[in-house]
Amino acid sequence: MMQWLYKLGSPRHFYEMTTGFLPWLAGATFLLLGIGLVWGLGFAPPDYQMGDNFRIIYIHVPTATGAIWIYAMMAAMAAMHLVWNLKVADMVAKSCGIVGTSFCAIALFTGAFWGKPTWGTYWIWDAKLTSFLILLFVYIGVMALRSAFDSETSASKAASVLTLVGVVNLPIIYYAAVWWNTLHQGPSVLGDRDASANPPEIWIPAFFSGFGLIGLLFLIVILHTRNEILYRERRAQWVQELLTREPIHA
Amino acid sequence: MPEFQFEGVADFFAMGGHAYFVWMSYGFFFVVLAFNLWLPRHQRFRLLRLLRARQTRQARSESPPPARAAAPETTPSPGA
Amino acid sequence: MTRQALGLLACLRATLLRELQIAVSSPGKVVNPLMFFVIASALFPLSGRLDLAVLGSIAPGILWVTALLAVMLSMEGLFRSDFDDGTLEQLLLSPQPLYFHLLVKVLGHWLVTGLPLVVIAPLLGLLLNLPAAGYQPLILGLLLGTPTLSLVAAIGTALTVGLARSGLLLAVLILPLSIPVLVFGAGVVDTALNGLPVAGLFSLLGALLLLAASLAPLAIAASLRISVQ
Repeated sequence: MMQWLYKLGSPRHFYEMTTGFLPWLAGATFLLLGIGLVWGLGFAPPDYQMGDNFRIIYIHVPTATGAIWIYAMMAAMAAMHLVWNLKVADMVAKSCGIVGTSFCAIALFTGAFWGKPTWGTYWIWDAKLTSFLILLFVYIGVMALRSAFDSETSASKAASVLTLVGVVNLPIIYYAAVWWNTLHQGPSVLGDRDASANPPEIWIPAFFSGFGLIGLLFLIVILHTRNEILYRERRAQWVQELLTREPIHA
Repeated sequence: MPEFQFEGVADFFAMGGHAYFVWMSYGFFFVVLAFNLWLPRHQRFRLLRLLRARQTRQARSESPPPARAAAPETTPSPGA
Repeated sequence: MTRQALGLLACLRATLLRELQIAVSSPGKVVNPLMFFVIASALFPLSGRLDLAVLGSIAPGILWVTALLAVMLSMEGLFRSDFDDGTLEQLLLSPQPLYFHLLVKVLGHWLVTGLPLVVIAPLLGLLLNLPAAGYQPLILGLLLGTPTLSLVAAIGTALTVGLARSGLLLAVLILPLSIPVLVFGAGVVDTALNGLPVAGLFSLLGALLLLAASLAPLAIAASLRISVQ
């Protein structure tokens, strides 16, 4: 196990190991996502309160959870990059940026379109919504900082530091938003229902779409990381050999 | 076995009156994720083309002088 | 006290004095953030025909947002001249612990840019029709909150000091991270105006300041090392 992790730290091994793994990951991802979404959109019984509008949660909840975990992964990678100077960790962290931004944007957008018929408004300054908006800003900030540098090493280090500053700050932002919300008493239609009250016909498709989206986020991160590896290792012998082997449309 | 909750295709697309919200959400979801899947593939093609061009350029500059005479003919025109 | 500790104290004193001397020699550094604070706050009442009572109720938010922007803009030059003339490299090579040095440097900068904002804030409160109960929490809140903002902004400044044009990038990096201070700072005044106890909120602002003072210098030091490479 340790050996396996150690090998993943080498760009070349990361690239070669993911080459064989990618088709399986892609297959499993699209299978799970397909089952989850078709089931959720067509076969799950409509919610007794929200009607068919609740079908948005099959993409809303997994992307929202994913947006948080991608940031956690990015922060872990940033720490590994700063402490052990692990190049692959930084490449993964860089790849997390655009995926995290996308997931965060989807969560906000679907949340707004779920909220309009349910709460009567696209947006309220509720603690969850506010902190997700700020999470989106933090993702954008990290990517903006990285792209502002000319030197690859400076960009990596600076983005890593900012990612870690963000990870200290995000819980504080969330609690500030919670406190602020209790002060202002936004529309309290929120009424969190007991999740266990939902019948299995409703949550089983969510299980499929959730795992499908986890697979998808890893798929996208790995694809970006592989490009990054090829670019940064472009002078290495193994990349030169790979170039002569690989068909252009692979 | 779960059964289909709608009576026909039109009913499915109507989403019990919530069509606008449900399909806007799923539409945004698919567009953003499709972009996320397209982007790394696009970047990969571009990167491979770039690196391969660099490789052939290097191979040419390292080869002995006779090859240089042939070089202008093998250089692809910018439009190609 | 050991010689080393004395050396550190002398060094910190010199750093603090240097920041103050720079402020005296170039008064624009002190005046510009202040003028920004005044003008930006004055824009809000002019932007619409606001009821005086409404204006008074949004005054805490206006003052805190403009103070936040003023602090951020004033921080842009914190490491700039040191970076340009090589002082920063000397600093990173010096045997004195960088942590305390940076803490004192930010403190010195806050004394000349942040503190004047706190002093002038009540005057702007008058212009914005802030009710009488709001002044004390406004001043105390700014006193606790603006150093935190300076410390957070210093991280952003340190990260971007090597870049040619960093103003807007700095805002994109810093503003999201300053939100807790803004929420609690403006919240203190708001809570006081509603006649509710504010001691807990002051403790939160104090806790944020302590957290920033203990962690931010580490991040600033790491960022400066990256920028100077």
